[in-house]
Amino acid sequence: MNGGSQRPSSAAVAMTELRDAPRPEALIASLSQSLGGAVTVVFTMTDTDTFIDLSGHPVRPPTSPSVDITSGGELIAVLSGLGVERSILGADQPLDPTVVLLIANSALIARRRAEIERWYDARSDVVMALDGARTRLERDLHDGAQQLVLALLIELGLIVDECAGDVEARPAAERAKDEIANALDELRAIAHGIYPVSLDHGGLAAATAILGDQLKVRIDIDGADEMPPAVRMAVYRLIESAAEQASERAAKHITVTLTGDGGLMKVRITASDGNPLEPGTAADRIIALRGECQTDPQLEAVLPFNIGGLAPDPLPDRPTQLDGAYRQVVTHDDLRAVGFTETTTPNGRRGVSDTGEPLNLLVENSGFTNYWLEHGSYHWSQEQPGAIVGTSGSGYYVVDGDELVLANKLLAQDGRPIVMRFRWTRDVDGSVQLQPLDEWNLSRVFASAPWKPVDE
Amino acid sequence: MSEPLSIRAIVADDSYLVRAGIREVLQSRQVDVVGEAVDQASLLAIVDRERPDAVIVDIRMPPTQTDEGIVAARDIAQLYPEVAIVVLSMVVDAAMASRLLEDHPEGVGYLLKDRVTDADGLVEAIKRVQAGECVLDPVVVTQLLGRSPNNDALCALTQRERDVLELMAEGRDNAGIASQLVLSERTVESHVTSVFDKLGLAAKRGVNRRVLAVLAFLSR
Repeated sequence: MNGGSQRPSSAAVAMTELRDAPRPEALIASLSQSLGGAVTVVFTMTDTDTFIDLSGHPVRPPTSPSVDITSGGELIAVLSGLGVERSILGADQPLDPTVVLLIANSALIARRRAEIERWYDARSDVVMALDGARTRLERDLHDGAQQLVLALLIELGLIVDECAGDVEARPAAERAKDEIANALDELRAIAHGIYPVSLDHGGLAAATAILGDQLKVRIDIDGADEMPPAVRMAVYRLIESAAEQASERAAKHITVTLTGDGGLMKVRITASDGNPLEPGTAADRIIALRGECQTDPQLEAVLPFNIGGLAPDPLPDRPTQLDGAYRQVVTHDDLRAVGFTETTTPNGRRGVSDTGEPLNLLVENSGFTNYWLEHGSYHWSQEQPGAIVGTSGSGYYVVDGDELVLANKLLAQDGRPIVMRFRWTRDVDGSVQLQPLDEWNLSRVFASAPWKPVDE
Repeated sequence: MSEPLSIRAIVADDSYLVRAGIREVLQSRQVDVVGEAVDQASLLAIVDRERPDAVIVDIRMPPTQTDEGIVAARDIAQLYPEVAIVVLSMVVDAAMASRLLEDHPEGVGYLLKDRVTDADGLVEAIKRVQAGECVLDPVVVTQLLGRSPNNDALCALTQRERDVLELMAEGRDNAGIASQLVLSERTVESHVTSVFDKLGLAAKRGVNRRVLAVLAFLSR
């Protein structure tokens, strides 16, 4: 029952809003104050059934008693929380039209922000799709042209051998062999330029060592090389651009300083000749990943770790590599990939699938263990018992006591999430062993679902 | 009248032409190619059946074309420690070399695929690996030396000691290092001892300090 004298009139709420809260950010605080309890406001997206918060991030719809706010017959927001339950639940006209207008205004801003988020996501998706295409191109080159030229080189080597005593034929054969050897070097450089395979398993140190070798520039890297793959690729392209410029003007070496800090990777590059360096086309990639680039006074870039919900928090320490084997072999047609969006709340981060379904995992902000799955190895750091987690392109990873739970980003065709459990133990040498707790054969895990596991 | 026993080798590479080329090169130097494999699984099966003296394996093979050769090499080193393994790679990659060496640094080699064209060099590498040495392509060594030195024991080495370590990493013995650097063997010996001291490698039975020094160098 809402007693008229206990509860502030709707008009009073409106006045408070107009006086104290011209900014949408203050709306919720003002509403909470006016309604005498915490109020949560979620907004609707027009084209989907998704709910979003004021920052434009998807959130789950309220489960507690709530009040729908409509404007022009359209649902624009849902209010819930103690303030709502105390003051306006069940009221015919819960809020003054002026307040509804303020909420509608905020809804527009939230939707706009969500659209911008989507644009950013689309741009980073394009960058990642591009890398996928480059991986295939590099592989085709490696398996095709490079092997053929190598076979030719071997053949010419044998010919050189055979005409050892022939003063005319031998020099000609040797020249041909040298030419082919140069061609193979060229192909190698082209393949590495298309996609530096070594970046995936050896990190920046391995990939830039090869690059430096090819460009005859020494590349010194200072700082931790722990970052999500997409960020690392962007950093690599920036280094590549700087190294090419250094090589062109015969600078002996470049120095790269990496600083992972507060969810951001900062990169600074200087050349030994002291002359300025430009980001080149790497700038586009960095901006697409929501990063920034500057050239004055030095070439610097800042990239957020958290790209489109794909990346975990930054890792404060060098992670330990887990030796557990994790293999999931299924055909793609049977899977529905679900994108994640993360929302940071005061209590932690919450995952929501891109279809708006909340994932049944709450990431609490208490005693974290962050790690992600990257190219078949688990990385993690800052181990603390009974705690959680990170995300990756593959899914969420949660440490629950001595168990590690992996909630995959791929869903079974019937919409059920794939959840795998491991028991983890730490060896004396610090390495972590994973013991799967469930039957690994997915056809058994999802016996009733239309799975088609592929034989390994 | 006894002929020197020829080396029995297996070649693993998913490219037919490359396999055929390597086979021809090896046969031109009396190395007997007793089997060929196209992937990790077929390689392990043939090694089990033939028990060869040496295996020459490409790093990238089906199905993922990433590191199958390294995985196979590590399996073979564990199951058949007597088999000499030479891993070939289109690109020299220090990170891969480190992975190859971390478990069984003795009796393995890592070479750029181009080295195959030097038949004598290839056979020499196989023989050195057979003798329990660890043979690294000079390009791997250059790449590792090109990295910035971190504040570890390696920084304490003099330039001359670094030169010696570099040649050790290429698998050369003291005599080989001496001739390369135009030094007396005695001088090389004292440099080698100094490298061991600075890297904190005490002499122990059954431990190859040369290999450990190279590993220290690799794992920077």
